[in-house]
Amino acid sequence: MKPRSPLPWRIRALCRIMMCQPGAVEDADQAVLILPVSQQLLTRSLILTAVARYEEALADCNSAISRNSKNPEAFAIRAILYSKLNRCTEAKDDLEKARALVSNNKISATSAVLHAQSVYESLTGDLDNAI
Amino acid sequence: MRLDESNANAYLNRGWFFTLKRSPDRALENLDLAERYCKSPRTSAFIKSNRARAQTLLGDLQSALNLANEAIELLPLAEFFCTRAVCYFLMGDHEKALTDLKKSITLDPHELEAYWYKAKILRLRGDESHAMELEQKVVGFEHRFLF
Repeated sequence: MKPRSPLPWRIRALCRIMMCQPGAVEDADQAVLILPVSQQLLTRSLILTAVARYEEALADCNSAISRNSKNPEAFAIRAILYSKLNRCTEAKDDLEKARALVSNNKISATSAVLHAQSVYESLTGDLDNAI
Repeated sequence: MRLDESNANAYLNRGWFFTLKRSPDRALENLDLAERYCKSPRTSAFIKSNRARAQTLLGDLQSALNLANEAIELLPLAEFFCTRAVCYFLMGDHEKALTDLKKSITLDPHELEAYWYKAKILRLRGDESHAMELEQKVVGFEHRFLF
């Protein structure tokens, strides 16, 4: 029996990608199909990034941001994607948005935001800051 | 900001940045920590590939190649083929390096490093025009490349 909640699909997708097993994209597809909200789209974006399908990942990330533009992680994930696609200006813009959201909402910078920042800094040659 | 001291990926990334800074010993220290907290085969594959890069800086090319092979066996990602290509390149086996670079570009056309090393090999073979064409793809990103 297939679960009707997106959560098991999303969790299995993430487990499969970390365990280097096939089927992660299909599981993420199911989660989006059941409930196409920002979180599912972001997860699928991460999964697609992990398998180097960056353009599709970017489309998902854009959709996730259009549904919820207050999540700093979404901008951080898109910043990493832009870095992968060698679109550094857009990566920087998204990082600034992520940092502004963290600061405006007085929340802790998540590892995704910090990771995106270090990736961007390494790409622009600022390795000391990246470290 | 609270630091998560058991985040394998954070050590993994820091290891990579130390490699880019040409500090292989510090890179390996961080990769040891990444390994200590690593919970998944995927992260393990990245650690092996990054260790291979640090080993190339230390000149231990056979260890680097073994690690790159292990990373590819776990997860055949474009960047791992590129890591192995760097090993072959430094060992002087340009044919095997080109095969891995081709595979890397097929798997991920955004893997700029693959174009960089392919250009280097083609230049060594006297194919200057093709080498320059490939280098155009990576203009502005030179800092990423170790050799």
